[in-house]
Amino acid sequence: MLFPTIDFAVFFVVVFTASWLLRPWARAWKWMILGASFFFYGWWDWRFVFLLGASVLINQAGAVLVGRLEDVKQRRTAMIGAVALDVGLLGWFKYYGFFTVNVANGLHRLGWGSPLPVLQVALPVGISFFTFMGISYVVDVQRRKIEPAGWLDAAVYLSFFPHLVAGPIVRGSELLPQIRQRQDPKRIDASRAAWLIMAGLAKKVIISSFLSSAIVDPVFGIPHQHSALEVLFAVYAYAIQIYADFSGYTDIAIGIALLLGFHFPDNFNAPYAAESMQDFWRRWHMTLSSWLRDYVYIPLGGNRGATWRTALNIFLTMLIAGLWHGAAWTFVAWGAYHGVAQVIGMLRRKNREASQTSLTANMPATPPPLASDPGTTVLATTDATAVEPRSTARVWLSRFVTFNLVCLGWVLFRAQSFANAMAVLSRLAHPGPAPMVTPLVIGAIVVSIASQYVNPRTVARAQRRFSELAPVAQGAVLAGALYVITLLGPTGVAPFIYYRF
Amino acid sequence: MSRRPPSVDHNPLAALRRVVGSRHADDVGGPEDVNPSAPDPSSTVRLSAPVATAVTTAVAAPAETAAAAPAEALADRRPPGHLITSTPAAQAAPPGPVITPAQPRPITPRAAAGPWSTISDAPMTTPTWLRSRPGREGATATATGNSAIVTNAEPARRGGRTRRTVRARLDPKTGRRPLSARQAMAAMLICLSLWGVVDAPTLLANAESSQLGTRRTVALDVLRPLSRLSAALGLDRVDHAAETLIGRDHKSAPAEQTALGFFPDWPRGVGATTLISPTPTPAPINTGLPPLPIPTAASPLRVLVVGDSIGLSFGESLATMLDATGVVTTKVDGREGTGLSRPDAFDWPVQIQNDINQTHPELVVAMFGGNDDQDTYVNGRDVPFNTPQWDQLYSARVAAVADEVHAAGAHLLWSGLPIMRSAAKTARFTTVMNLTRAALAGRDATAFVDNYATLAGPQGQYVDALANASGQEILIREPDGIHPSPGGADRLAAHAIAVINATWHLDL
Repeated sequence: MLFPTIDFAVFFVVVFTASWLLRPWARAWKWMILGASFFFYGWWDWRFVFLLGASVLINQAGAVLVGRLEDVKQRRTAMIGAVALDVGLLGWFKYYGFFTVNVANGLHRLGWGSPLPVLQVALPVGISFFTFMGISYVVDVQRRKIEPAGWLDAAVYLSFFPHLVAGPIVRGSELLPQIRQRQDPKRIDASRAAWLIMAGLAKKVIISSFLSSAIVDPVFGIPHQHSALEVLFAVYAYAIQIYADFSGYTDIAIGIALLLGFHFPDNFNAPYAAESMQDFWRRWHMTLSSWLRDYVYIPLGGNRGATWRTALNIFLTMLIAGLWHGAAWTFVAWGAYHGVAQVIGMLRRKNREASQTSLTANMPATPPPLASDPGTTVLATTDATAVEPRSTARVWLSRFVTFNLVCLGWVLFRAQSFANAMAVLSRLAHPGPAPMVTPLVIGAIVVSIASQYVNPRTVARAQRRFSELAPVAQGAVLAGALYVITLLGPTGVAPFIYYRF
Repeated sequence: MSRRPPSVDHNPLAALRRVVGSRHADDVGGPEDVNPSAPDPSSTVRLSAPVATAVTTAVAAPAETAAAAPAEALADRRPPGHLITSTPAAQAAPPGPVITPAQPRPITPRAAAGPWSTISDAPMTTPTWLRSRPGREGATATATGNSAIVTNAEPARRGGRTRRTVRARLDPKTGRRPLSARQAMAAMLICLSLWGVVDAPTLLANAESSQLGTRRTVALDVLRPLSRLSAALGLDRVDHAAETLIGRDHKSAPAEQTALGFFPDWPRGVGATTLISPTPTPAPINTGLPPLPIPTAASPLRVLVVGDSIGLSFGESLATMLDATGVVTTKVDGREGTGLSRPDAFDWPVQIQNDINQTHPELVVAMFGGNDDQDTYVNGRDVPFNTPQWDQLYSARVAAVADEVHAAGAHLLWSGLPIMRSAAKTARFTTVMNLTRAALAGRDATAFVDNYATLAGPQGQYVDALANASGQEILIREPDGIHPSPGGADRLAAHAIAVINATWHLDL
């Protein structure tokens, strides 16, 4: 079931009550939350409950096996086996059609027939997310970062309904300890949870839905009927739509988890305030970025090799990131685009560091940098530009350029095909009237971008003020907020974009 | 975004400097400095108090929080200037020298411990209630070797919850006041109940237009009393006023009563079977429309495409292909989750009339049915799918759309649904398509495109991919087995253009 529905509201009230009533009895609580999570998942299609169960079994069996083995090679082999099963499940459900049609066409060019039938497999909701969580769990056990959890704990961890459909991708080290401990029923961070849920609903129900129907879908559907200005604003609007949609989902997910006493990691940090493409990936879908860093980039070698090897590792990581988002060449191209941007950023940084080193060669020695994870350079460390004093104008120019580069990538992401993407981009050279660029569309885009620059202290202060209200008053304020959201939103809310990934 | 180094908070002197340098926690990098996403285990010491009398609070704040509530209760029972001691042993000690702000007592920093914090060289205790309120001057801590006297402090309010009490309960890590599960549940229920009552008219209208079944029945059972309560309290007027304010129309009545005049005299309490006569065999209908002219760049053919989600992707492909000829201008109006079964949910006849008025089409292409294999709802009555009554209603709705298009002087092409992955779904859609075809039969200026086989395999079976003219496999269906992919939509559009050319003798 989707979060912004009456169905979920009823479901959550029941689960919230049962969860806090049963929390003193750990085992009963775990069974209850496990049942609720599977019920939540089966609401779409009860048959996929078996898939979720299979994923849990594969990963827990793999983790237990890896945990029991002492020999390094055997542990590694067991881990690879479990990961291969995970990837196999994901590959079958998500990539089979894409794979077979390309194999068939490749063989056709050679004059051969395809040995595999070309067919589309129904895509289970959220399979990409819980598969990645399962992989991280097994690999973390293999790396001895965590111990294998009990079967029930692992099942609750992997199927916990707030993160089940579209993340955030929560690591075992983050969630398992919280499952084991008993949360204090007197210390629920309700004000932050309420803020996140309402903000998430507003982003999804008002901003995302409005921009989608007002300009994005019509322009991307039939781009040749629209002028340059409409196309430009449609691209900007899509950037806002996908941010509002996805960050709205994770905001709600984090808020719901918080009401149950669980802390999820943040997933977004004002991504459109990024000053470089590298900075963007430190702010956008952060749990995926760090997952890719830890389980793809570092295993590929990270930045331990030569520059060309580091660049290749970065590029491959982003390519996989692109493919993770969807089984289409447009997503691969989107990943490649960001991969190239990351590589360019890495090379620029290395050049800057080299020039700074030569400039400061005669200066007093500074303490050596702390030893860090070999993979952190690209996707997580502070950009060298951040320590350089830069003029305000240059900072804003960087932000503007970065935002537009990101938007260029979104065209590939949104387009149905390369032809569709080219049709959209080519219309940027066709000036004309722009009736779809209404003040409301411009306002929604501007307000959304401006929200990226709101001081977190202001938000924290508002949350604190809200928390000081009596619970009754809090409920009344939230009712007002909910009413405004439903009033300004459409009657039916389209599914989240990312839950199909 | 910014995050202060945790080391600052580990250092009481640093904390002291921050407190002395400001009057309010907001200004000293208080809790809002913490990334609100997750608890920060490194920052174990946080200033929970909004303001502190400099010396005492800076040292005492972290550990005081745990005992904040008892201290508050104690404070309310004590007059200003009362001698406070921290331990029974300390109570017997004589008062020491007074510390004033002008002559601060030297402090040796040490991590606070226990509910009432102490410092090593002067075991001064400072209960939470000694802290002054934000923006208030005058509360001065007088410390002795093991006791503290407050002078000139504002008398504590008696009774009721003071702002100070609330602040004292703030979470030291987040700076926010946590709620208990019971309080959170109360807030949640109040929120949902209030919202439900105020928004009841809209919620009821939405529930009425949802798919017929148990879920809808339950929703109506809950929402009808709520809606009555809303009306009794006059809150429905708030809802109407708000909708009017944002320029939204109120939910219109079902199309049968407003748009098309279907069964306008449907009396309540009378069964559907007594009202609907058997379907007459459609007689040939001559619309009297002239044939479509040969389009040119100067005088392009105006085409309007309307439909549901399948019709939308089909329409986008059709528009791309037709517009590429240079002699056609195409407008597409596709709405997801709509159809002709439930005019109470979306009134397509009204929408088509609006589209016609805006675009003045010469040819209307319609593609409906993907959401129509469901029960319909007429004047408060459920009409089950695939019953004679339903069949007649649906046929009448198709015919009414055709009449509407023809009355506007446009020709009509109705694009049928392709085969579906689910055999049951295919059977249901076959029923809908047969009714549609029959309703359009005998009309001139009208064509029905049978798409059952357009996306089917060589043996008429469902397939996800088909080879194009050059032998390349193209995915034609989405993973759901219902919607066409862009490749499938292109195939449907190409078939429709072929039918247009054949029917109206064009060369598009």
